[in-house]
Amino acid sequence: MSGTISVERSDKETVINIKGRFNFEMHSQFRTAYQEDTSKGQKGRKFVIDLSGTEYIDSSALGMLLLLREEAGTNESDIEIINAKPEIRKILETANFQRLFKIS
Amino acid sequence: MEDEARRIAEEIAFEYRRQLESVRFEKDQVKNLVQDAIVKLTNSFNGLRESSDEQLGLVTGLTSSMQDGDGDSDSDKKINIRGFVSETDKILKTFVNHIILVSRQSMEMVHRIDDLSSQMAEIVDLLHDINAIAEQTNVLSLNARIVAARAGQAGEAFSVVASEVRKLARNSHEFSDRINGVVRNSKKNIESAKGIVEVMASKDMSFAIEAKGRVDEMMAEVSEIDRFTAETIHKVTGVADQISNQVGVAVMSMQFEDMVTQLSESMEKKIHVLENFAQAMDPDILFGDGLTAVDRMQRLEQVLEGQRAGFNAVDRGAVQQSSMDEGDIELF
Repeated sequence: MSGTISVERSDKETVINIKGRFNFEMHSQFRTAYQEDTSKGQKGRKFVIDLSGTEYIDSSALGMLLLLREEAGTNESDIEIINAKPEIRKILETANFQRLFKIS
Repeated sequence: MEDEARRIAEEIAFEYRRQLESVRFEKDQVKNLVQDAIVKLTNSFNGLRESSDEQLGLVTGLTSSMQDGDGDSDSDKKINIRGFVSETDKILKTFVNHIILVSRQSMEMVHRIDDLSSQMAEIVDLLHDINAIAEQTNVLSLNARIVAARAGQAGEAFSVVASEVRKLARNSHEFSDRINGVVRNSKKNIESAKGIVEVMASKDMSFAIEAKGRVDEMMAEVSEIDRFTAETIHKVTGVADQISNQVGVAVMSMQFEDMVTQLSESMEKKIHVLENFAQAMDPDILFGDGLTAVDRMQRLEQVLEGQRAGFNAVDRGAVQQSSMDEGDIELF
């Protein structure tokens, strides 16, 4: 009952689209989605996490997002979280993610 | 006959003086009663004002202890609702941060575990290669034995070497199988470790939102209480001011004591004048021997003239104000 992840890559940015439940079971898929970009060691790449199809999010997903932020180079790159549903947006705000990510 | 008239006249004069004395006594009583009452009323009103001020102080103190100490939290250790709620909010945030930190570390651990898993898979691949080599060696030793058998007597020693090689190949296969077994066990352990980390990492976050919502609600309620308290204090202060003003008016009104004193003095003077008058009315004027009617009339005229100055002086000296409303400014 976990979700699915699809990735769209362009020259400048990587869009990671998460559908369904964003929980622990997604960790391999999620890591694979960004590892290709971060393992090269290139910094300053933009990541967009599209949560429009995300129904549920738990703390492990928040942990994964923090890891992405670190592995993508904390300061150099910017990570944007878009289209979060109100309930999920509330969780992100309770976790103070608006200080670490662009949430729109 | 004349003696009888003189006696009656003296009796009238005596009664007149006695009544005047009684009037003076009652006048003094009235004055004392009024003065006593004024002192008591003034004290009572001042006490009322003090009690009202004290009451205001108590209400203000009570409510300020419920409200925020405004920043001076170090010096002001009083427990208040707003402080309690914001403390709860802080604890909630710390708790949420802690959970997320644990999840982040756990997810990093999961990544390492995944790396370990794929390294294990590589080991298994390598073991396959070793098995393939062992298999080839086995085939090789078999071929060697066949060739040695064909050589007959001369190949006997070579046959021994070939069977030793075959044993080595078997041993090698066996080792590789044992290593494979260990790797399989390790994989199981790794999977169970991953399960444990999953439990650590996965916390449903809806509790945090609910808790946050409740804290926000409490904050709104506290603000409402603060607003209501401020409004009530404002009203209580207004009432206290009103009491104070009214007490002020009452205390000012108490100063009619001065008027009572003045009236009393004036009455005293009038009584005195009446006494003088009685003194001056010598019964000889009416009843003395050898006086003609004309003489008597002249003597009466003289007495009246003599007292008139006294009457007039008393009239002028009377209190000019007949009520509190007239000219009361000077009194206060």
